[in-house]
Amino acid sequence: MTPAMIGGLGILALFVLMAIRVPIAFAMLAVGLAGTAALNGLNPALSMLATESFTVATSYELIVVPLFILMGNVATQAGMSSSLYDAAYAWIGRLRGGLASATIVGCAGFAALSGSSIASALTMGKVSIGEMDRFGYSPRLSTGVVAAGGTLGILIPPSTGFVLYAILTQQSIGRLFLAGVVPGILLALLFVGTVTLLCTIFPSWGPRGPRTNWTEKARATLGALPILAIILVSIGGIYTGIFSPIESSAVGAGLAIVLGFALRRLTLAGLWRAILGSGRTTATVMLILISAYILNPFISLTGVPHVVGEWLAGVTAGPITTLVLILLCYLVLGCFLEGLSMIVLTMPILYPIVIGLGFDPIWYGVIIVIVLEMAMISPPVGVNVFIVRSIAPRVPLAEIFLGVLPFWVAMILLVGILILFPALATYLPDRMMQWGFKCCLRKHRSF
Amino acid sequence: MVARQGVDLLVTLSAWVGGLGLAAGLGVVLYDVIARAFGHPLSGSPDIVQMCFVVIVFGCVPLCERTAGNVRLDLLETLFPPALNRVFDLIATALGAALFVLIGWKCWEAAQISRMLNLGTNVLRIPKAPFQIAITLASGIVALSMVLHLIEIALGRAQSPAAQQEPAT
Repeated sequence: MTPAMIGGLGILALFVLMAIRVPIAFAMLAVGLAGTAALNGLNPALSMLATESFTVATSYELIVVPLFILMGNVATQAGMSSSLYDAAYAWIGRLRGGLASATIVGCAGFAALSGSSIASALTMGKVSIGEMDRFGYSPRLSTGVVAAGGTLGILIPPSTGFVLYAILTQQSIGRLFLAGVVPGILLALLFVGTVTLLCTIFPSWGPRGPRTNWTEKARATLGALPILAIILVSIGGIYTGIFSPIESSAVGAGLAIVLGFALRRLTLAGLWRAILGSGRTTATVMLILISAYILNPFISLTGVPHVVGEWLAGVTAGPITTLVLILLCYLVLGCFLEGLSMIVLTMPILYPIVIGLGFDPIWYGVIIVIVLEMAMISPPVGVNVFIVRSIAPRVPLAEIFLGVLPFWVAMILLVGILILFPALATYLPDRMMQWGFKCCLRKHRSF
Repeated sequence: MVARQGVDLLVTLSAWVGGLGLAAGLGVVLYDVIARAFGHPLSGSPDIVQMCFVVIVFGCVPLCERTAGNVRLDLLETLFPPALNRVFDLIATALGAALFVLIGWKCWEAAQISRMLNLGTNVLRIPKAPFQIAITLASGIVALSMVLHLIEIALGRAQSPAAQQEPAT
């Protein structure tokens, strides 16, 4: 049997195991282990199990994952997310569909605090769905907007999606964070545009909220200042080169804790809950990553990426058509696989092909994270939709998926825009890194 | 069930260690940032953070397993009869337990080699062996919890993953 055939069998076994509800991390570990044992022998495969587990779990760069998750969890425990929503509500709640747009703005703001899409959907959903219900919003719009808005959590930095991509492809976390800013804001604007369009076509879906006076607007904005301060210091620190992503994650989490206690919104019990919740989510993500490090060598050894690459080159006319075909594959896979697992699974096969075609790895990272976002709301396994369902159990699942559909189209539109104008993702990291490099040179010359 | 309570206690203890690891990692990076601003950075802070990270990850893995935190594909569950789903649960749990036994065993062996060669981190020379043993212990707790879950499934006492009760943390 050729290595490519063993690779094919391995991939088939992987899908069978996942179909019978073996956790994705375990399925990847088992196939990676068995496959490497078949190709290289049992001892090297078993040694890899210990080496990779320890190496991945001691990666210095990956400490940003629990720290950024902690920052978001502390903000949630301290009720800071509701302040963010209140501020957006005070400013745009009066508009048609304004509460839904305020939810998007709130999600975008919370996304700058949390790297998790699930946390964003859960937190903002708890705050906003009840409020939209009170004003007679269509459940389809209110639930769809939260599920879609939550996905901004993994595009607007800090993002666990970017961290995983960076680790898997040896790219800079800082550059990827910078690259996510403009597309993230653009997607939030596209979502707001979608809400406005829907409420113009169907006015009953999003009636106007109550009018707020300037005092209320100022009070609500003042209430959101702690969150804005955390975002400014932690994320702004990365952009200005004051902090590395690791330092920024710790400063952000530390600041959230200090402000939470200073404002008497955080208790010790709440902090401990936030810490344990962050640890649990980190363990979930890291198990998938460790599994990827066991599976990836097996996939490389089989030569499957090479075979797939040659096949793609044969059936497509050029780099863009190959890319579109790959993205279509992701859209289909996103209907069946959880987003992060999908990226981890496919990266060893598809990343070398895309980079071989001459695409910028940072730009591709942004595209991949958007595709990952789409997977999070794609039927039938869109995890964000299930999160929203847990907050609004009376809304049928089909209704939420229908509500999400227009936002899914907005994401496709963003992917198209980024393919046409790649500089939207690459300009900021190129510019800021050049600026940072010049600052460094100046500092060295002054010595 | 006494055995379940005992294992849950171990899971809770492990999660607490993981939580303390996260608090320590946060403290070390913050201290380093502040001390650096005053011209006295903490030497070897990445070494401490790396070791805290392994404690966070493997300290919290038992909690992740116990609270059904591992991502799985539930798409086809409704298509299969309950009896077949129970068989699938048995296979998934047995496979998970076997994998964690292997991880624990290989990390134990790696710890012996690390101890023999006196392997440590780059700057502070923090020995690696105790942390590899910690992975073995955490993997042991996960495997134990999974074996217990296997027995519960076999006896028909297991809850569905989503309904599993979180141990008090």
